[in-house]
Amino acid sequence: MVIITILDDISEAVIHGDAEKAIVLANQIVEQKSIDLNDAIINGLNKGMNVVGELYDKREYFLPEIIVAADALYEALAVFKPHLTIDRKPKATVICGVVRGDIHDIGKNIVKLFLEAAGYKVVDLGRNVMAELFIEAIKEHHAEVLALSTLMSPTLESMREVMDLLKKHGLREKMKVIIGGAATDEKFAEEIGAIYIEDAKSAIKLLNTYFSGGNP
Amino acid sequence: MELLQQVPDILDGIMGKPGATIPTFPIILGYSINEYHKHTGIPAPQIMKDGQKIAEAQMYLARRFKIPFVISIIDLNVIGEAFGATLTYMPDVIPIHEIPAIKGFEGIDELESRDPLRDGRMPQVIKAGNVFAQNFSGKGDLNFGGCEGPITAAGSVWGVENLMRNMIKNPDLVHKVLAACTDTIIDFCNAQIDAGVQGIGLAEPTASSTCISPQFFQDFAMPYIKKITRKVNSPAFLLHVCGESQNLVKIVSKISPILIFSVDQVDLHAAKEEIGKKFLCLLGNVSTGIMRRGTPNEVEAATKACIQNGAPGGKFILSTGCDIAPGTPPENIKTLIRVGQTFGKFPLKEQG
Repeated sequence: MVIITILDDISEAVIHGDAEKAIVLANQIVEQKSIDLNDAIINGLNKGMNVVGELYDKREYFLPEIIVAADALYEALAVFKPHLTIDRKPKATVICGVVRGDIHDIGKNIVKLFLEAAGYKVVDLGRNVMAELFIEAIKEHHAEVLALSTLMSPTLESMREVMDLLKKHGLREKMKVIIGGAATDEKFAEEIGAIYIEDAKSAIKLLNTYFSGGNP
Repeated sequence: MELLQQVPDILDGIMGKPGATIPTFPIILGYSINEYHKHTGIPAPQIMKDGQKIAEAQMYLARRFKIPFVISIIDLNVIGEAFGATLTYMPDVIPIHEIPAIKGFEGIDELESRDPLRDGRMPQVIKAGNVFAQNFSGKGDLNFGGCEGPITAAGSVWGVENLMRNMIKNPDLVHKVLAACTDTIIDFCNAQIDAGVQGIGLAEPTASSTCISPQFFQDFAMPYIKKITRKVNSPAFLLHVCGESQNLVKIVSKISPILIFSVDQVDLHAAKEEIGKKFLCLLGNVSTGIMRRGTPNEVEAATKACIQNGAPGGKFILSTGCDIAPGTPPENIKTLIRVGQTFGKFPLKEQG
């Protein structure tokens, strides 16, 4: 009962973007030692962030609320980090970035956050990323997923460039490529041979069908 | 209205007068830089940093597509750059924002407005307005100046994430940044009016409901937009908010100097009901995605749907939801304009 309450509390702290409270609760969880920290991440922090995602879908929350919720989540994670003795085995490794020519990265940051919360290892290459860098990162991290984002229409061509380079390096068939951002749509995704995702939640839902033993 | 009386054809079209045609101005901002670069071979940074060339790029496209409207807003980091944000200039398109002017909370208390005659590219944008005044006015043509709105400018100055985080955590600091941006915008726009532009446009995508709540729009955007419309000596204002803005229509309709609201993801029919009898002309909203990647047939269908939703009863300008993307086929722009001219004649016919 106590465990459930404290996990609910930390989940609420994330939902309300209350970083101070999240830190206090995270420290309490660490001190108590009776709660598995992986559980605290999944059933506390991630659960809170999922609610935040739902609230954004319903337009009850907007970007400022998401950003402060993410701040609270990261602060609590930082408290847990030194105490996480066994690395959580990620479901898959995702390379993500905003393609060359575009620097709008809020959407990408949100997808990254939700993917991490859902148990994926995310290697974030940042914004305005050259196509070659995606290829290098995929090889270096043996990634299974590539997630490309752009807000602007002009830079859609940079996505095509990445896809062409993937084929050239024989990597295309080895991975799932998801694209998102305001400028993208299903039609364009189909055109370049990628999968369009509308938001962070649908990204998780889709990837879970591939990487969670079919239990999204 | 005083401004629109100088352009009777446009006014008749806006009023839905029998025999008149819906005015059609697709939004051409950064698109003009890429097209003019391709036409002349001049690198984009050279165009962006020279008011004469900014104006020539706009007028080149206005003439090419027979559009009676030019505007000197090209990108949305002019204010940010004037405050010290770092931009990366691209060879063929508009620059991208790299580093905000303010890091953390440093210097916010001392933040002062910038001088439009000296800082960043502001003097060049003013010069572009002067070139418009001399070469693109009268005979039914309209020219506008303007810049990014206060929230968008503050996002460029402080970084969008910082700005948004602190709307919740430190609203007082957000207001300080917004105040400095707003004062700069006021001086900058007044200088453009002095240079001869006929009206002022404000581009405010970061204040859309895709980014912030309508409540935050009221709290953080409204006071400053109102101040700008009070202090800038423009006979008319155009406000552009791309992204979701359905919930903002009613709020914007209450700021009477705003004559034109340029909207993107909005149901035009519902929006007009919200506006009711107030005079607010909607400008929009064919998807720029369809413009960029659709066929002329798809553009035609989208344009007709747009006319059907937005034009009955007038107070409507046919346009795109946002700036046309570089690489958009000219054929699609011509299609939008042609459909506006053929299907946008009042009284409107029922369309299949």
